[in-house]
Amino acid sequence: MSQTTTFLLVLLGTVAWFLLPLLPAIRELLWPTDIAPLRVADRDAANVALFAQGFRTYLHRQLEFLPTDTPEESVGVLPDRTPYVRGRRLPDSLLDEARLEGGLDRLVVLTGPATLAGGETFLRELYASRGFAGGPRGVYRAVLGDAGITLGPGTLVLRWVHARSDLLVGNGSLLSGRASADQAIRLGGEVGFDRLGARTIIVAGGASLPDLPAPVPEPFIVPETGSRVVGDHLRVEGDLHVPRNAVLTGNLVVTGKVAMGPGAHLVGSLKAHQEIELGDGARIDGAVVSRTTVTSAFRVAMGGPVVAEQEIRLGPGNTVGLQHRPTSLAARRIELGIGTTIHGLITASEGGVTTKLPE
Amino acid sequence: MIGAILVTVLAAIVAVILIYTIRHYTFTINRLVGQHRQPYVDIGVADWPEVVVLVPAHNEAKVIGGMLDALLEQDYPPDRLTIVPINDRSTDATAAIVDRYAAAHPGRIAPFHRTDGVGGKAAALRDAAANFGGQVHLVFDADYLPGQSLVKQLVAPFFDPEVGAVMGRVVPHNVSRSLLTRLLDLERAGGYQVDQQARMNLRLVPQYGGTVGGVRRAAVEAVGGWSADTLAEDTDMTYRLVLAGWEIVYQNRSECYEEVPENWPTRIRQIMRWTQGHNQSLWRYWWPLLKRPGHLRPGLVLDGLLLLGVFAVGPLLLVGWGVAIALFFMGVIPLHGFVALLGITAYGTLGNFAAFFEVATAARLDGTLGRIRILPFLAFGFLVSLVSVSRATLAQIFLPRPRQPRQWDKTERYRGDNGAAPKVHQ
Amino acid sequence: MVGMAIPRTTILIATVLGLGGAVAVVAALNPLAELWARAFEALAGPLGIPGGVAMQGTSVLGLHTLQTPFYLLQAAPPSALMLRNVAIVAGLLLLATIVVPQRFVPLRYFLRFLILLQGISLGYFALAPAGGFPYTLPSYVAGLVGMGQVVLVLLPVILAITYYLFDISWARKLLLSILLLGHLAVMIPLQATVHAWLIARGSLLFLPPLFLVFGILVHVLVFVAFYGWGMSWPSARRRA
Repeated sequence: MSQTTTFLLVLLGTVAWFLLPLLPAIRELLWPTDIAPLRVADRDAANVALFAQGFRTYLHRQLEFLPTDTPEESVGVLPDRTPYVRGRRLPDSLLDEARLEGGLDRLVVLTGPATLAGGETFLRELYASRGFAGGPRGVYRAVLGDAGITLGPGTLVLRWVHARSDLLVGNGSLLSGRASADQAIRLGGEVGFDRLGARTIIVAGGASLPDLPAPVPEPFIVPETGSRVVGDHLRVEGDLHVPRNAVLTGNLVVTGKVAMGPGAHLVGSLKAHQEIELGDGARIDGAVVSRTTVTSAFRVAMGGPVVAEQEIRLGPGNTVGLQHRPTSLAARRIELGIGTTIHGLITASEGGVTTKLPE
Repeated sequence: MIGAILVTVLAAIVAVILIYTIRHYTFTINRLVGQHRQPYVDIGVADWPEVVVLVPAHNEAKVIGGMLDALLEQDYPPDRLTIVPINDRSTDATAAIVDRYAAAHPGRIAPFHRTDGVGGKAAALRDAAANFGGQVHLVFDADYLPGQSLVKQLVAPFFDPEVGAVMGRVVPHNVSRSLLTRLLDLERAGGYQVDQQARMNLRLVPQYGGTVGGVRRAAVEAVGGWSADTLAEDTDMTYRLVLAGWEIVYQNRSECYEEVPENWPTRIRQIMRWTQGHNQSLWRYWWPLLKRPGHLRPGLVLDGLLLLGVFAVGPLLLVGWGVAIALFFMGVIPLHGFVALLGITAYGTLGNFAAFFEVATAARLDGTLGRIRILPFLAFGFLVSLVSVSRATLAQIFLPRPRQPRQWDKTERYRGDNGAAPKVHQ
Repeated sequence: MVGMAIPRTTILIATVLGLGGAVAVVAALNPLAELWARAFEALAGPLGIPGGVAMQGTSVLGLHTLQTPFYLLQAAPPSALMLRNVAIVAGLLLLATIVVPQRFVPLRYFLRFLILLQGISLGYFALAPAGGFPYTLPSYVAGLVGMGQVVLVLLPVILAITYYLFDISWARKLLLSILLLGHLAVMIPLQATVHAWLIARGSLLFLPPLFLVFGILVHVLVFVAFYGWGMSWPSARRRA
């Protein structure tokens, strides 16, 4: 073999060796396995009840296709082979199963008002067409109620719960995932949550809170030094302290901390690069946004949305939004004081909690 | 002497390239493990402000209907949403289609027909925006396909009074058409899923991209309105807003489909256009940025400068190669022995790999694993971009721009006349 | 938002494997260099590469001496005839790139870049004084192999930062690393042999384009190919 021929073989071998790691790339190019556009899911930020709606549709379809001779009180499997039980109340045998370790592995359809003693575990969804009252320490994968739902103290909801009218949640419960109601959600003390959505969300204990005297408003002008107008807002470099009962009009962006004294009122929106602290009776008509935390004292009112990149701590008797102008409250961690009322949507991406009720 | 000068020049260029390399790695690592900022994405319920959606359109008969349909289906309060297709002297059926939609949806669609004035998207936006109120102006290209909740998602950040502009994520939908579309899909993923989000996380300068995004009308007015004399009104607006003290927000989860170029000539034209527009902004704003208005952090200024220079890196790289080749022929090696070997090799491997790392990470975060295998073919895209960017920059420097009315520079449309495109999944 | 929570154990293992891998490669380089030298000797005969094979020792910060094998054969600068012929071929190739279809624009650009480099080389050898070219074939081969050795050392560290952090099984990560290092361990001497033969037969005229285009960029492309393949593997959690 000539030297040139030998070289050509070596060259061929080198090129082949070089191409070897490119084979997966060439294969994917010629016979693609992943070539579809990225799935762009339309975000459902506003619709906390999305899963509940999906379940309702699913359930009606399944029930619709049950054999026509299926009695109202029945235990069996749905057309998609999901085990279920339907009736005005749960049979004792199944209640016992729900109370044992492991829980009841059936989709439950309750056609009458139902009250449970407590301690049950439901591994699949529970649907109640009339009122539903769960006892203490119940564990639910998901609950859909076409009337009101009451969850006893220490309840655990794993995925979602939705009530067509009101949702009442007992002390010490944990609502993982989504909790929503068409009317109101009433929360006890030390209730954990992720996302809540309703016309009105109320933490218990508000009735015992005193009112504040009406503030005597005093006009306040932000000092010119360190502040300037930027478009439609006033930018303040550094910290800002708004005195008691001061009234400001306009949008504010503060690069430091903001402390609003008791009774202070901002007719506009507020953004701070650091902490926002709102004193007793303070009011902000518009949005409240902080890169860190928002902390409010007693009977503070905010129009919303209220957004903090770290934490929101609402004191007793706070109000966020209005019934005819619902809004959103969002932060990594949220703490709701007693008697707090929020109209709209609450999202705590790392978890929220209501404070302990007084004895 | 000449060798010393060339070595100095090469060292300076290598330093700049290294900064960009470090930037790539920093952004990718941040995107993987940093704390992710998306503070406004959970604003789902609010007293929504009045919004005007501007859709600049020049000969967009193939696609404008699809866009208007998508906007009409938005879950935004209809009494607070005005859709303004801007027909800029189209010679096809765009005007007729737009008027037909306006007649069918009175009060919701308000066409704006331009028959004279400076041509181009920037001028069209400027003229139309001046005629409409609203607190927020969103801008979509005519071929985009917004999902039902996209308007709300893009408007949500404007509740923060400091926000001047918002940018969503652009996702190619014609991925399967050619190797180029598949490569562009990967590049887009890297640019948005990693680059833009990292800049958002680190409070740097996410770029407002001129589509799938919006601006606060008061902010635009405060900085003098849209510039008609720029090829990249989006980059121009980004920097004017940042210099004036506004914040730019990027929302990774606010996604919208687009069509990417399906052939190389179209891609080359696109990137040359972007280059020249971006370089215009580089020329205008590097000094104002460097002078650092008091409200800008040093890190933000640095990132802003790096972002301005991103299309200048290509020509700089070519100059660097030229200098390196000259030094090679002169037999001048800047370092010695093993250090030279290590330095050159490390620079060659790490420097060239940074962009691949970013893209692969983005695709993995997207869960689109199979397509990562074609990563080596990205080298084709980089080569074409490098040449196109350099050509555009050289033309910009050495060839005067002809004095003629500014034209529409836009990408070809590939959808059929019915404007059909993939549905957004619920 | 999707991100990655990287467990501390992953960071620890990645660090250990990255640094440990680099140290292991350093320890293996000299034995590998011996293997490469024997491969060179085995190939030299059939390929007609005279002069034999030698080892170059490079001091690594005074702590270690890195042995790098290279061919001793020399290459001459191009003759006038060679310059003319290559210039004609380059010119024809340049013309040919005009008819490359639009679908292959990247190929067109690549060929033109290669032709440009070859053209610069032509211009240099046509105009530079005789004997002025600063590189000899032996020093070039030694440099090329040396770069390959450094790439091998850097790879575990690069993988630690860019690959080991992902939630892919450790077995797969190690497999990819071994395949990559093994591939390059074979690639480097083959590449050096091909370069040496072409330059020796063709003249030093071909050294610059070979080095600048088919040198370290080949290693990078191989790395990217392996990396893309490895990154396409599913996460360990999903597979479980």
